[in-house]
Amino acid sequence: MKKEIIIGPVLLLILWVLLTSLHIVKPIFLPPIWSVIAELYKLFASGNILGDLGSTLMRWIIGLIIGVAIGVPVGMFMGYSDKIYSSLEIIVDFFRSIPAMTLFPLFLVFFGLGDRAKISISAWGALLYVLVSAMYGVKHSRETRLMVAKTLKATPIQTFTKFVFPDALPEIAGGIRVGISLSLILVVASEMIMGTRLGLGKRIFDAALIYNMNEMYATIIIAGLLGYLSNKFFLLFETRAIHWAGK
Amino acid sequence: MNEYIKIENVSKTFLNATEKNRRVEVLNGFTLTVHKGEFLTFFGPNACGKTTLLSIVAGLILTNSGSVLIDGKPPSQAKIGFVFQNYQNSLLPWRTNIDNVALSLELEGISKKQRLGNTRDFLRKLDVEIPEGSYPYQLSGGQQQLLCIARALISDPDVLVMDEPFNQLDFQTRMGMNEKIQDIWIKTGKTILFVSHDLEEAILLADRVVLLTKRPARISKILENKFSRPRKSRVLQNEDFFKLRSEALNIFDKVLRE
Repeated sequence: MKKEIIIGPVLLLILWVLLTSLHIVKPIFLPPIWSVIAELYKLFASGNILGDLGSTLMRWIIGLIIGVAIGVPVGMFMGYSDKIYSSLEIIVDFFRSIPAMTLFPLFLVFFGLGDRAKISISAWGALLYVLVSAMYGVKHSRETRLMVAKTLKATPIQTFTKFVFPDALPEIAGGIRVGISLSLILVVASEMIMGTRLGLGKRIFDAALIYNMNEMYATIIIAGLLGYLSNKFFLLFETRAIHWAGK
Repeated sequence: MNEYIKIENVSKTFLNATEKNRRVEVLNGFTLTVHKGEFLTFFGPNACGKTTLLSIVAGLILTNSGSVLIDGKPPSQAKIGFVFQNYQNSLLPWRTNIDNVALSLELEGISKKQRLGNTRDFLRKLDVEIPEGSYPYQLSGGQQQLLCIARALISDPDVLVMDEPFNQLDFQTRMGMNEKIQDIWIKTGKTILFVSHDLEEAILLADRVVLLTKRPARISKILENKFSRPRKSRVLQNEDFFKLRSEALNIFDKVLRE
């Protein structure tokens, strides 16, 4: 890792300290860094945040798994056949173009106020990207490799398991990585808008309503770290497991 | 003379890519007989139909009319070893080198232990040394193409078809590969159909060089090369080789001006 990587974050923190200690920004907009850190500590030490963190994690990850479990096979199926792809292309593009948040009321009507609606939203967010990437992953299978399969007289199942599927993996993984981020965004948003008892989105929203800026910033940081770290971890896994990508 | 591969009266047209209702005639009544164990090379103008011809022999595409028989079998039933020009896109980069070579054995359902043993023996027989556990993208271009050749040969195919296999390699590597493929051919005794876009290479490797016309490809002339094997690249400087090359070049020149 390069040393320069630390410069940006450090500058940002210095800026924060300067803005607050020189009273350029009022504490009601941006509280001092120390009080936000103290709040972070308090949230974890008291165990207060754990319920919210757990709820958000649970909705996010279950939704993610559902989205991937549906998106990968359906997407690959679509990529396999030009006819299926052509007949579904407009539908997929249309649903992909709908801003996901406009569907919140629909999910609310279908699944109610509980976890089911929020898990479904998370699944939806992941599904869209995973499906499309799996579809293109299959469509972009190297022509030459398919000819290799043909000259070696591979069966259709062998062609799929030994040629098409591994060839599509780099693109599928890329789609999952985007899906991870998107479904987290949607889960947090749904917790803000659709109402819930526990969840990071709910806590941020409630803290803002009563101008508890320390708690709001602390929770935003937690949500941000969640998104950032999940992405980094997946990328790490991806580059190891799919070592041939881009080579 | 035995008739190991019989290509008889093969015709093939394709839809024109730009003008949809026009058909392009790539082969028209192409006929050729290949002997068992022969090293046959093809040389012809760009886009004359060489690759189409090989693809038909390999069973990758069907003819419009005419027939191909390999040892009495149609291509769909014959065992084909095919080596493509683009080795990168032809190898499976998620598999280790040895697993790439063992691919066809795996498709045939041979157990892991046995196919690894067979593959090691086979690579030793071909005198091909490649790090087993690393991946194709870690190898040089020449080594990758050797991997493809070994993969194509390991299941003992009826014919080895090679479509401009050394095009993407640098000059030095090509020289080495030209010697290596002769060595492999001598060791395995395979019948090889080899398309080259390099006239010297086509002559150097061949028992017979098939010189083709512009599209639709017909046989313009078949030249025999009786130089003793193995032919090192020194042969290129030999006077008789030079004459053969001049003859081929004259024919090619005429073909282009037709």
